[in-house]
Amino acid sequence: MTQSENISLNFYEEIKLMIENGKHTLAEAKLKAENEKTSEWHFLYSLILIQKTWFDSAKEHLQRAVELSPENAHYKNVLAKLMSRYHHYSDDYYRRPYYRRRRGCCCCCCDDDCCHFSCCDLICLDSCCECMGGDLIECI
Amino acid sequence: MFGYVTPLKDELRIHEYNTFKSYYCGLCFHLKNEFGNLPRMVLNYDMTFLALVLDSLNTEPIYTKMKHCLTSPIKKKPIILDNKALSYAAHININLVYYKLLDDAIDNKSLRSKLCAQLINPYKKKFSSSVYHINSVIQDNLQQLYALEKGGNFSSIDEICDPFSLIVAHIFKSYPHPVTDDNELVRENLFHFGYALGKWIYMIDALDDLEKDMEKGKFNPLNLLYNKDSLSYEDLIRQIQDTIAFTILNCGYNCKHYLTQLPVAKNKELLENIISLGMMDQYTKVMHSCGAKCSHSDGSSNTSSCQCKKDSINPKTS
Repeated sequence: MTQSENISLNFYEEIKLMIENGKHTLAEAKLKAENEKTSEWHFLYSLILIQKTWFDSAKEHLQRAVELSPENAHYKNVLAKLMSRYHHYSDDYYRRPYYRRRRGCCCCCCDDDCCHFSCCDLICLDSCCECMGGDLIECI
Repeated sequence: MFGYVTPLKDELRIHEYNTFKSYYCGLCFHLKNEFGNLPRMVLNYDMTFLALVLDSLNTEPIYTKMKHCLTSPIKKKPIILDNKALSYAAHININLVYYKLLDDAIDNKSLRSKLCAQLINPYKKKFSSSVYHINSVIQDNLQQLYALEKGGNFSSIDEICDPFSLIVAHIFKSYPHPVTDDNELVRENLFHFGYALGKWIYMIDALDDLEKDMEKGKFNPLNLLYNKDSLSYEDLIRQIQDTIAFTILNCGYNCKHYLTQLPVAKNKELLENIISLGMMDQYTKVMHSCGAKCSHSDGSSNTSSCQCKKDSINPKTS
């Protein structure tokens, strides 16, 4: 291994350690100062971006890392995890009976298309209804 | 911009729904008691959620009183009073609305904004000293946001979302009262939670306004970033829906994750409902009203069962 390859390895190890210890701002500054953008550079930068909640940018850098080193299974694995991550969140909703009943349809009887009462009309109607023992609109 | 962070009522227990309402009404009363009647107009669900999260991080009991109000002159409603989190949310609510109106007025976007900013200006004197620091953070980041929006000199959705996300992050982190097990880690988790939430709100708002902004030639980050070929609204949405879903839903994931890291002492199920179900429901409604009918970010396609009125868009094939 050449001296410059050794230095690169030490540099990336140092960045990895910073990321593991939560020093993301420092790691980002050091990475940005580095001119040579290898696949490992893009990979480490994507990890920092994920932590920053910059998902779209993280995805781009991970894709670039995979492009530069297609044989690296670890990069592909992390990219696959990032792409499927949000399903752990959205599936909670899509599996609910509420969503399956409505099949994701956003139409409801309170859309502007079918209700032509103003807020004042509704408040007055609700108050009259409550005077007679009912409750037209529960929330007012 | 505000009003997207709400619970999914169908999946709430009655007492959870009543709790949410009492925070919402409580915010209205805190706005009235600390600023007067006029600023109650700026009441919104997102600030209610802010108060709900922060108040849920301490074990202090909630002080609730049955009161009449303008919208319920006959029937009394439970309202939370003398609450530190609601007081903070009231100050932040006025602050955000004021600086937004000010920037709109400076840019001469509308006379209405100028007049509204003038109406709110006297209430600045009533800001507590505990929010002075966050006021300057809000002002600085709003200025940065408007500079980016005006100049169009940004190259990623993450970049344009950053200023507003930082505002919400700092609002959560800088809560001036102690929370349970308060330490640097809890405050960092509040920061990350707020950042993800702020980004979610900014993107949902951009998505919801996209069609209207394209029609009127107004700035919209999604149009500027993703519509280099001057596509129609329908074609643009079809092209970017997966890209948008990726960021919005990952922000939702982060909100859910960081909520589990916070020392939530009460209202846990209500908070989980809002983050996992309410926010998803809002996203689904906005996406569907965008015309991405019968095509979901989970790849499924429900053409035959869709009953939506607006059905001019062909479903995307998975």
